[in-house]
Amino acid sequence: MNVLTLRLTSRALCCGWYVPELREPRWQHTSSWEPGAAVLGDSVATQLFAARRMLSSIVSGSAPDAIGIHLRHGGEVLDRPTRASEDVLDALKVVAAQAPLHIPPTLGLARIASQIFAGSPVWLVPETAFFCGLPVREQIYGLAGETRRALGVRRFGYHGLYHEAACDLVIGQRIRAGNQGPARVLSVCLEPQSELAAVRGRQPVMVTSGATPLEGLPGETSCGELDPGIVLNLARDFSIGPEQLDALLSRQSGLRALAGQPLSLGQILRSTSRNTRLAREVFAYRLLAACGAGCGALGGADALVFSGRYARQAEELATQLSEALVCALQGQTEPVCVHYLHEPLDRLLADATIRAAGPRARASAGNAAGVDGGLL
Amino acid sequence: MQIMVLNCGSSSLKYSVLALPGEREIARGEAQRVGPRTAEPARIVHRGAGAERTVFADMPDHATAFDRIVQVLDEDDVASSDVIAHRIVHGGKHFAGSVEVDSGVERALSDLNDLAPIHNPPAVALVGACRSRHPEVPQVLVFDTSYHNTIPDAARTYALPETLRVEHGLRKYGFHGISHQYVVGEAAAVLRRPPSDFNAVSCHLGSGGASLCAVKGGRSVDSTMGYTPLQGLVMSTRCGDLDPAVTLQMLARQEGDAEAVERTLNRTSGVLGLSGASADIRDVIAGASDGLSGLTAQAYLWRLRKYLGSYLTLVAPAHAVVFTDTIGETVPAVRAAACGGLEGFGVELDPVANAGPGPLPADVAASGSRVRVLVVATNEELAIARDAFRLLTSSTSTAVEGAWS
Repeated sequence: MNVLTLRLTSRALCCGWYVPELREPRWQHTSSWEPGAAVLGDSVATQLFAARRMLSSIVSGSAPDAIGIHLRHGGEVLDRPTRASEDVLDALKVVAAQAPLHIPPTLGLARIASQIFAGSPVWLVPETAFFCGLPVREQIYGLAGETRRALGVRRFGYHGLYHEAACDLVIGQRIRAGNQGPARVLSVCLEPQSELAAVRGRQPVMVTSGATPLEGLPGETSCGELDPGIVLNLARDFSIGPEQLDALLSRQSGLRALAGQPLSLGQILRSTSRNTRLAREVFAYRLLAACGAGCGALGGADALVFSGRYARQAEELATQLSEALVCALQGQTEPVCVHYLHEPLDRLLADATIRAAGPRARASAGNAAGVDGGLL
Repeated sequence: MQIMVLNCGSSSLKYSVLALPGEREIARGEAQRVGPRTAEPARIVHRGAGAERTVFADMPDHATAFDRIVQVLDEDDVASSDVIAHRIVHGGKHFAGSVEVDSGVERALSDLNDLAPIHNPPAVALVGACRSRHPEVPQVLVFDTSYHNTIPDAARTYALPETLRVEHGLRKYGFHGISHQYVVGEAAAVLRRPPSDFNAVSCHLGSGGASLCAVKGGRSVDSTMGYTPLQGLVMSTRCGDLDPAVTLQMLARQEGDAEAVERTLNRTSGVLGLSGASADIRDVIAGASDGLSGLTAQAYLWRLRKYLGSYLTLVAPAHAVVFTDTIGETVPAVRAAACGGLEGFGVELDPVANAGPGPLPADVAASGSRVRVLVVATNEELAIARDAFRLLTSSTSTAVEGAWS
């Protein structure tokens, strides 16, 4: 089936046209839109009209069999890729407060796409769906029930498409090798806000991100894990308000703060400069600690998979991590296999759309049920 | 030299009267369940004059607990001590080692109250009370943060702008260092390994606070607690790890009132907040078949297991996992749940030995376990007394050991 993928970043609209006979996009286009805008302006509609004209010129009279729209956060409302109806879009307004810069524009995009490509079904593909079924013990924070309910917080992961594809890669290779058992996968997604997920088969049991992507590994500009006492001290001793603190922790911290200059994770990983050493070491250390936590959650590890836009820069990291895991897993006889997933996000978005909308849609798509095996 | 050691936990006040250098114990005890009411009444369990007795008394705060302890010691005719030594949770960036108290030290100590709002204030108040009652008795402060001075930059650095990290000292300090250092030393001795070649994960699981320490070559290389004792494991009334954005959300809802959020995260979260019934994980585990208690136990144990896996990886190859303090020493179910499923790390418990470890220290690992699992009774009081004795008998006492700025 032919799929049009649409993905909004904070600065751009990325369009891709995927056809069955090619893994690469038949056509793709990226155009800027106003950064941080809460709603989409006419420019995006204009861009989509242009995309429609472009597609018609590629294949005469063609219309997408499905449109897959990337959704950063579907909350607990969407536990799988879901066709965008008015009811679904209304229901997602509840989640909008958790990602105010992402969800409202994406819902606007879905509405515009439905109008412009009338007749083509529009699917919302949430990154968080993979993590809807995280075990409750992993979801929960050590807060009183009334506080949790008032804030509506629970842990999610935010790179579900990469992690799901990483697990499928491992499962496929194990099946070809005659190993049918569920793999214990440490899936490392190297993106501007990187994330590690520990997955048994296709069921995640642990993830480094939290109620928002701010928690976990340090990002290019975001702080990652932080003592809550520091946030309170900054508020009290420096009289910084919550919004300024959010800007400080989200945009002025992370690897950029450690390196003293705005660099991508890829640049940090490639660099040998002394100036970036602290950033490299802190990132590698936190990632190793997270791998260990993942092994604790899984009882070991069979595979370590790197995905994301910086996966090609992960070789040195992979060597360090796999050597450390061999040393740590003293009771495990099987090695930890290292894999790389080099598929771009839009290809994974197209695949997820095809799985949801295609004739052989997975009956059990999504991880809806969080089942806890007791620890006691 | 007779030294009275006072050890303020967040919900307990341990005390010990020791004669140094022979390390003869004259009396010891613990005021338990100090602070918020729990399912059982507050009490002092006192051991002295060859007998143990329990005295029930209301102890809403640590100062009251101290007064009750002094009464109990008087009843046993214990002589006044030559030195009072205090465990202080947070030494901040000013105190790198133990120090004798004077007015300047007391003022500098008071400045650290915000860093450990549950622990430092009662201990600081206790230092003041002791000085006013016994101005002629030297007092020594021994800090929980000192052992963690060896945590490397990669582990202690938060990904924050340099001005905050360097000028304002926002870094991981780590806590429970006195206990971790003591039990790690004991464990190395049990396993007949030189401390400099001993890798372990030390699990200090108290009835109030709890932390893990990653130990490589006998030195602390990481701690689950951070800049304050709020970070890390789910604790009695503390939340432990929390998404910074959630803290910001709470601040916004409280219109920027950091004190209110701090009270919530420090005093009404953790086991108490999750269960809604008790701040003591023992109460929760006893009723873990109930939905809310079950959820609380799962959250507490799961974070413990994840950190254990993480630290076993950081110190690899690990020689031992060491459990200590009230929960670590006395609750086999917690040890079993923490170590369960970690056979891949070479950790295997002997279920019979774990259920009844006998006299401590005890090795409760299965015979084939590559990583030994030890239960060691912590003795922070002895460790503190040793440090105080060393400080006061050293010819260069405050200049060397008591360095502070």
